Amino acid sequence: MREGAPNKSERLINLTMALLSSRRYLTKSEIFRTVDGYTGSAETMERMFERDKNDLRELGLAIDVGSEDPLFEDEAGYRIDPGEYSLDIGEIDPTELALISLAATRWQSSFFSKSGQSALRKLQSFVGGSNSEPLSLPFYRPEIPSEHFALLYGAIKHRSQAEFTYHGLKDSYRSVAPYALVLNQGFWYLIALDLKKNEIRSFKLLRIDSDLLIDLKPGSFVIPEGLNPSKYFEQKSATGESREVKLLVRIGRSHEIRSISHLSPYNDDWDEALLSITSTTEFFELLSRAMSSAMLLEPEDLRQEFIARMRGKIHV
Amino acid sequence: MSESAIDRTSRALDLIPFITANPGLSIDELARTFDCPPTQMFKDLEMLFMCGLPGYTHLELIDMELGQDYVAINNPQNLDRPRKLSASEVAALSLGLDILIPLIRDTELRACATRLRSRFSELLVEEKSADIATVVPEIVSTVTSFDRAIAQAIRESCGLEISYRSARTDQLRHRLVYPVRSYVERGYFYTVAFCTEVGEERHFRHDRIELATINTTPLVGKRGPTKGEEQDQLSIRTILSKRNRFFIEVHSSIVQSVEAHGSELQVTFAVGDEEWLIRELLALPGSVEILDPVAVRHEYSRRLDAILELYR
Repeated sequence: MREGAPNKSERLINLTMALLSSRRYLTKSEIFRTVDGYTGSAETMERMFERDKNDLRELGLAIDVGSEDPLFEDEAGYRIDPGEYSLDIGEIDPTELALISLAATRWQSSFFSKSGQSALRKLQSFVGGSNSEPLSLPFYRPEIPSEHFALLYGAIKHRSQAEFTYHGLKDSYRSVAPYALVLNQGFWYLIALDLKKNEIRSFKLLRIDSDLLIDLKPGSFVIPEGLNPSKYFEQKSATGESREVKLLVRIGRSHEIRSISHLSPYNDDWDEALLSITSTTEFFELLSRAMSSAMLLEPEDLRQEFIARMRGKIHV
Repeated sequence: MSESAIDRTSRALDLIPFITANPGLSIDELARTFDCPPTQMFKDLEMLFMCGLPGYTHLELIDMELGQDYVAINNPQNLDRPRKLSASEVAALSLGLDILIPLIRDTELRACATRLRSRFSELLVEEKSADIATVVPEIVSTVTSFDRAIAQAIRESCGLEISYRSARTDQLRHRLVYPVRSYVERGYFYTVAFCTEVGEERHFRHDRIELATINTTPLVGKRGPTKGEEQDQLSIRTILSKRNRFFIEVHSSIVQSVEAHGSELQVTFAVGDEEWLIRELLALPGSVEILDPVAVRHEYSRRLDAILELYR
């Protein structure tokens, strides 16, 4: 054994190695006698070991507690099952490693960046090689998870309620039971039970004010079984029934509308365009962008709605 | 702030299998990979030199070759395999793959990514807390018949002749472009390409390309900057209904300032192309007012009047 007391990290590594290598439960007295780093009085070593055990558990290591013969009241012993310690995810080929590498690096400077990088290192250790096939995929980076994300992630994990000012059409103070965080169309949302309205709502994280407070009391609520946050967005974005619309589009213009329409000549200046729409909002955006190069003819209710929408844009 | 013993232990436990699988890296390379200063990496390796199994003779200690430019582990003892992934590590990879999968156009690669995601899903079952965050699959525009030609042009740095419907000018134009890179935004694929007609880089949405053929003529001369990089930016001050907050969030890169006033927002945009902004503001629901510059305010009103005139 070497001279001088090892530091705490060194002792934790030695303890991990000892617990991993033992096929039977090691008693505390055996640990104190054989693992480098335990010195001082019995009481000091006892305290040291309790702290070390907690630290290793915080690192995610599963320490089994048991005795060699459960029929007799032997002193409790400790060990780490190698099967529970080691990563086992099967074969990973260079293409898969390249995909993992891209997945891990989605999170630059955000809540998941540290986790992504450490996961990648573990998998690079697992497959034996840090070189992977270079992949060329289009660049896409969604909203970077903010500080709010980290706080709400913790609140969901500990089932703690949260309060914040939400900047919607009207600013309002909300008390919620947070259920899940969802990335939808490039933005992060919180799915939560609004405690005042007693309804599950979605809140865009960008619109949550800096006054976000997390209740320190854990276990304040139960997340409903079967809640599927993704499904909630799919339902929300589901489009209505399709409708046929008739327009006039100027010759040589309105290429965006022309590309999705059935066209026929109308007169020297205009063509008639027929198309099927499933979202009034998206159709009005398309029609507005065409400006005076497109005119909606039918159906009448949509025509009136569009006229009202454009009149509403005039600021009084 | 000094590092905790837990963080240092965590790194050290991961270092051993990593070096075992990747021998011969320098201390600087390891420090970069593990995101710590080289001096700290050296201290970690020195510490690991002293760790081992009970007995702590040279046969039980971790056996390492430690040099500034070469680190290798000859005997990792029982730490040769990496630790299991933690819940947050599984979450980071699973969510990352969820984001990637809709972007992959190659069928085989997409299937590979989906299978990989399923393997991580199995780990998620064990790690319940990873369910906290999920991704709604991005609805990305369908594959166009020109995607392959665009990818080839980027890969081989050759030209592409395209017929393109410009949403900015509402014109169908024929251009020779040299694609540089692709990206996805709000569910649409775009390619940044050097446009020989205007002598600078422009962004082309794939579904607005009506024709694309490879042109092997090499690009001669200097490539210009991306539109907006050198062009003067125009500040446009507007008042928008709060219903239009999403527009500010989506186009945050051109927003100079936002102030809330009751049910409205005073927003200043910095744009190189007011034509684009006018069309986008016309497409928004709710009231929109351009305060200044006066010329842009008048142009916006003129176009709004022209639309309404069609319905009188």
